[in-house]
Amino acid sequence: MNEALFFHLTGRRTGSALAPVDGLALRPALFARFRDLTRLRYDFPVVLLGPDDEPPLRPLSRVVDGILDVIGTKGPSGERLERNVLRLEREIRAVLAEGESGSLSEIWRRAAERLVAKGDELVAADLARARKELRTDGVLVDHDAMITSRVIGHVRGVAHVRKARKMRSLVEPLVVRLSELVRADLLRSPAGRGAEALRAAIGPPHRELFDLDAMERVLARPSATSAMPEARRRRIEATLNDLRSERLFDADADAFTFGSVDAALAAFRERQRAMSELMRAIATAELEVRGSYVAVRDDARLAPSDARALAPEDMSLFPDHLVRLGPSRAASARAQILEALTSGLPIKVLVETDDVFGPDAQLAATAMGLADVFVVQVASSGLASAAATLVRAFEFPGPALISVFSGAVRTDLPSYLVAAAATESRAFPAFSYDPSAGPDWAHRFALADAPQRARTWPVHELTYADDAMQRVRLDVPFTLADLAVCDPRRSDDLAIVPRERWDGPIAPLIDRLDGSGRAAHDATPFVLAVDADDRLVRVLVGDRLLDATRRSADAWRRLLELDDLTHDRLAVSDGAAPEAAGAVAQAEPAPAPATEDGERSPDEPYIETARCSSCNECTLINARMFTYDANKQAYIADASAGTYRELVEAAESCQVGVIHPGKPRDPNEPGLDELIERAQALL
Amino acid sequence: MTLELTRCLLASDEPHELSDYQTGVPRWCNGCGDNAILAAVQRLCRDEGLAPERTVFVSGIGCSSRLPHYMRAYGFHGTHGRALPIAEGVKMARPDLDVFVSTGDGDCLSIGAAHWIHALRYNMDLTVLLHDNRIYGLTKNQASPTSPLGTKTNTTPRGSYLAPLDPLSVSLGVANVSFVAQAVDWIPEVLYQVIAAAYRHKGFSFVRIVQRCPEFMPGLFDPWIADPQRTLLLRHERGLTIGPALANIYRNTREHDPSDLPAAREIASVEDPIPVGILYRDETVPRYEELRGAGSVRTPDRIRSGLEAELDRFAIRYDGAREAG
Repeated sequence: MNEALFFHLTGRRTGSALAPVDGLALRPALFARFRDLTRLRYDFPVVLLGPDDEPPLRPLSRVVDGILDVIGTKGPSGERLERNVLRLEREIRAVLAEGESGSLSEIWRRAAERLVAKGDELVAADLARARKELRTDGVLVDHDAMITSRVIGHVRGVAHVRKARKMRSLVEPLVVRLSELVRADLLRSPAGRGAEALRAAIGPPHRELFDLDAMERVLARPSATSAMPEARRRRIEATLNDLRSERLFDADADAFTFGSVDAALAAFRERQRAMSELMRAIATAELEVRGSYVAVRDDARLAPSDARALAPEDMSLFPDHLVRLGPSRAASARAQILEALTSGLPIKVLVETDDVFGPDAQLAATAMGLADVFVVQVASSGLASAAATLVRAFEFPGPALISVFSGAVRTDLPSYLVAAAATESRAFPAFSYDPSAGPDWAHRFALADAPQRARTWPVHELTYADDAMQRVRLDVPFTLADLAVCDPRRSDDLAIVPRERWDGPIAPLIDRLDGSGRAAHDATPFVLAVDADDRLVRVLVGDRLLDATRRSADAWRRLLELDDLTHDRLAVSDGAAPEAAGAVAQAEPAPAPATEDGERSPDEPYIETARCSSCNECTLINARMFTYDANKQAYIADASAGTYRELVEAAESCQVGVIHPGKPRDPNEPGLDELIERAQALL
Repeated sequence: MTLELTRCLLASDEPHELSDYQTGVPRWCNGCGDNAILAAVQRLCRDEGLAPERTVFVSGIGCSSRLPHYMRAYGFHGTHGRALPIAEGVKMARPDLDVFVSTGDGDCLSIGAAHWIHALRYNMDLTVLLHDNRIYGLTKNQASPTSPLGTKTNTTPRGSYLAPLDPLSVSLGVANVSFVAQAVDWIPEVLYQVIAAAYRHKGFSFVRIVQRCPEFMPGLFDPWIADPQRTLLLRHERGLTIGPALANIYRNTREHDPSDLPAAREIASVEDPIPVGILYRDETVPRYEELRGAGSVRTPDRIRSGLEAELDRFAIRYDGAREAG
């Protein structure tokens, strides 16, 4: 058995033919292009904005694009300006890479100074012009090991401030209205009309001008309106007190951040009573303000002693309790995480993992199966584009799981690159499940934009020079096994094939995976990598890793299928609507003659009720004969309740001519001949 | 538990009957078109389930302006021509209330004309019903701005000298106009539909209601009532829907898209047949109460500090130390 195959099957290197990958700083071959990220234009750094901005963070590149859009880049001077502003953006990345930190405006200033020092006046003028259009500011953060906690911390801080505002806007008007009720009651009471109260209402310079004791005597006459019942006044005052002493949002978001699920649950239960009290006060206040508080009904319901559970809608008003679990913490806390997620409480669990091969990476897919849990999975490279989803996760009234892959696996590789590669290799796709978005998976599940989503693996072109210095072009897929090259923990599953053995029984991994039969069944799979000097290396892949790669492809296809199904479903329901509307429009019948005409005997008096203009003419002639219906339009309630003369006169005086007198009922009524003649015109 | 249940309790008030909105016996003449408008408004309140304590009717002076007296809701019978400023004030302080304005051709188009023009511009969320009977009725027969040329009245015994003003065309020419419709009191179904659309429109909805005055303008509209061909019904999927019974009588219809301003102006300029329906609607026009953040909570502290700041501009602050000295 050859050494390569032996390694593939057993994971052990025998003899000297294969070399270990440890310590070689290998990177996947497709990473060769990305040595210096500061030269690239991508999602990071991001600007952390305030609670009024939506979403509350924005990539620097988006901010710069916004500025260029406003200024316009037409013509030679516009193109020059665009070039200079993009140079500034690069310079900002460089400044940050040197370890500087601060707000966007501060870093912008420093980067601009450096560019201006190197350039001419035009550069200075262009940058000044762009600076004028920079209207947002906030801390600028680049992608590093801390990025997840910074971004999530920022988003939840914003969510906290927004919730605090919402609570204030709910409570403040109630406090004002209730105080007005109390005040109005005081003004009506004897104390409110007393000389002392009157004196207090007048400014010091003019107090002596009034005889307030005399005024008290005048005002002392009993008032027409009765005072507020004592029980109600006490209830309102107690409620006011509860509302005014609301302190839940005094603490900042950090007070609601915990290192373990148990701590968060304990803290929540501790606060539950205060929340429940506050909800009771708000409910009482809303009823009191509307004057709809009914003691028999509401006293028992809103009794203060009852420690009842809060409804999800109510809980969404209160601060979120955030549990942060760092790398490798989640595995041991799995049972607690599930407890938190199934508790129905607004507990948000952030799981940060640095190992896509470990069990933590599967947590989000598992949590989607639980009912009513908001799930977000995203690699840290995608945090900027997932900002809006993250905000929704915090706004969601129930529990949420946020699973993030940090990408911090090796110090010599930028974490952004590894995180992006994890998304690219389908090992850690970005998706979300939002139970509040709609009734079915079609609305709830969303697979974020994935590169080349139709394929199992994204394929990129790799160009290199061979030994004869000839240019070679290859289409290379990016798989989980390529990602493993970045991860020192996977070095047991990888081994380098020396160049002289490249013609042995080995084959590209993809040929083994796609089952096309291009690779012999016993050929050992390899992936391409580059070493520190950018030399191409073939890395053999162990059987265990090959299996893991197959499984990740399978998981990706499942997600994709789910997403396609839900999209199809949405497309069907959207497409159906206009069709149905069209059908209805066509089916609308041509105006049919009013059916009542056909059935009515011409001898019976009647009113075209729908055309009656409610003008009272007929009802004033005989209110028993002519009556209004529920729409205040007249009909003949009882034709025998009056004379034929009244019918004819009502018909003649009807402003819109909708009364038809029919034929007389009583042949002996006096003057009938003349009436019948007058009625001819009204039939 | 609490909030949802409370909201349910608050929302599940007893369904209202038409009679829940009626109060007093209207003192209008027999046969007056105001009765039809009152009935339509009461029907709207019932069908929309408007809580009487959250609904306000504001009026100026005239026959039309008696309407608030007959509505069991909040009412403000204002001064001549000033219904709109009062209504704007109510809306500014309490944007959560539904505010209706009843005004007449004298109240709105003569003494109140300046307020009318600017109310259109403010585009606050009010439902304005212009009861246009083309005569001053309450003061017993004087010419109004919409009286037809040659109308003989107490003030114009030889017939009126000026051509009448067209409220629709004027409204459609004012900046920020957002809803203009016309109804006639003698087609109650359409009157109701137009008022309902006006109520649902978010913004200043101006409805001119062509109205009969059997006392001082007897028979003025008889030819139109007698001949349905002289009424032009405007129909559109976003305008009026004309039921079969109505379509059977009023066969003279025209498809009109309410977002088409030039077409609306053209229709408004036609006097005969009388166009009826929604001439213009634009939901995107900004509303003044939103631009100015109406209805923000005025805590006593905010009121005090606002007053202090304003008064400090004019006066020297009274100083307690000086009192002691």
